[in-house]
Amino acid sequence: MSEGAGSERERGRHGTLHEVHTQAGMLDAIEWPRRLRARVVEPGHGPHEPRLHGYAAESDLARHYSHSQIAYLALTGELPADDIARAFDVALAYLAPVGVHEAATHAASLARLGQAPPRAVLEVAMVGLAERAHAAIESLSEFLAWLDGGEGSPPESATTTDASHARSVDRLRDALPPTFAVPALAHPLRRTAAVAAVLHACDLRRPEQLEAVWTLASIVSTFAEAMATKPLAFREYPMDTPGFRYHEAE
Amino acid sequence: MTTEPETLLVPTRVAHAYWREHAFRGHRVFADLLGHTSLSGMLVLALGERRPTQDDCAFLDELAVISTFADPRIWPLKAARLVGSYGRFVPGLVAGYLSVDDADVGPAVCAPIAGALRQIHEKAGGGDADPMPAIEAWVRETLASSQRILGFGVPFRTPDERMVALEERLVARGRAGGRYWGLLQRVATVVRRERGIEPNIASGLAAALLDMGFGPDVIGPLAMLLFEITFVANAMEAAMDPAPVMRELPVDRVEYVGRSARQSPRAKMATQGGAR
Repeated sequence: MSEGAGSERERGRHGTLHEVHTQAGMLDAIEWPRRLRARVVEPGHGPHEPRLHGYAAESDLARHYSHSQIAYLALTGELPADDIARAFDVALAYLAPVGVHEAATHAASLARLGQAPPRAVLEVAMVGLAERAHAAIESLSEFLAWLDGGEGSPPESATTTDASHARSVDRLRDALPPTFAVPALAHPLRRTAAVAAVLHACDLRRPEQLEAVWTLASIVSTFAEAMATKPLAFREYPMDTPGFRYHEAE
Repeated sequence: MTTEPETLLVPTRVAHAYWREHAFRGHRVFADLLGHTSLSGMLVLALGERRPTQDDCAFLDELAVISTFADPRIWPLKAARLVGSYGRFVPGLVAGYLSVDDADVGPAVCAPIAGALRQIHEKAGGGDADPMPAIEAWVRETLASSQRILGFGVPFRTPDERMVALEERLVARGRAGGRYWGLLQRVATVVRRERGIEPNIASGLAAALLDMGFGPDVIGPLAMLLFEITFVANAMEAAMDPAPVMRELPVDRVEYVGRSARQSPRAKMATQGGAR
């Protein structure tokens, strides 16, 4: 290609001359906006501190609110009332432990086993937990629809006769503030459904809000469990738990 | 060796490690595949399909080239560059890919389009039956339930230059007579009449891959892989030559349109001397 209008020659990374096109293309034919639009976080600049949904992060939120209350604000746009804040904390505590027997923590632990750096362990954990959260909320979709309607009995998929779930839900009920009503807890709910019912009563009802809560609640404990894995201790890792049985493809 | 209960065993058709040789998708890696299978052939095997012919592999390579629309301003590619700007290739690549996973644009739509084409073909009775009534019905139903027809609409230009290139390669390789490519042309006539929009590369890829014998479940991940070049190039450059402006823009490039400044109830109480 000859050198000419709309192009110039420059020396590239490997020292060779190549054509640099400055000719306009299809993406240049449009006048694009020049600024990103922000709706939740107002970045700080100069004497102005950053704000979250209008509240000053440093002089207001940092002084008067807990991290979980700020998370609630980020997700809903409003600060929680005291009883909602307490119920939200209870739900977060219920969602926090994700043991190494679960895929997300197991995968993050494997990253650490291979001596992946902490940031990579965190990234694996985050992806795994987000997928876990999506699967959990998707499996509760029928129940969430029932919560919105609030009539009759909850769907069977959300209930159980398992005593361990019943004990867990009893403890959940006891941990909630006495003034905080979650009528769905009168039913024999599974543990996850009961936590979803509490979040629903906290006005966290949209799937993306629930998925965010599910993920954020457990990231720190999952990361901590994974980082506790001894790097490069391959002989200590149960290679066949679970095992795989190979079948030749037909 | 202790025998594990069946519930702790996961069936796999992917691979098994032997001594001095390894099994992969029913083949021996060194004896059968090495020297005989290209990267695209290995990818097709990895997706659980039969070993493709050399012509199939060469055509898949061409589909990857056709899909190379890698301008870093394109949204998911920019996502790859933003994350890659911290200096790491893999997180940039993963972020780019995740940004289109299950999305309504980009390669992720190839699977639902393939599903729709197959459904139209089946509703038309398969074989050589006239597909026009089924096409008309599908377009009508799709437009009634949603204003968008996946795989149609070409932003900024008409036609999609990648569709032009795809058609040329289909003709050159004697593949232009494929059932689903033909079906797509007929769907396009109806969509063009109803909405005045043209098919884009996602529907072209879906049709071409269906004609190669892939099902929608495989077409989804395969289409993602065909776009890999665009993500790799952008994640790589971002990681190798991190641009500070990618990590953080000047604040005046942000327009805040959220809630205006306000004081929290607890801050108000504190200012008023209330206990807290």
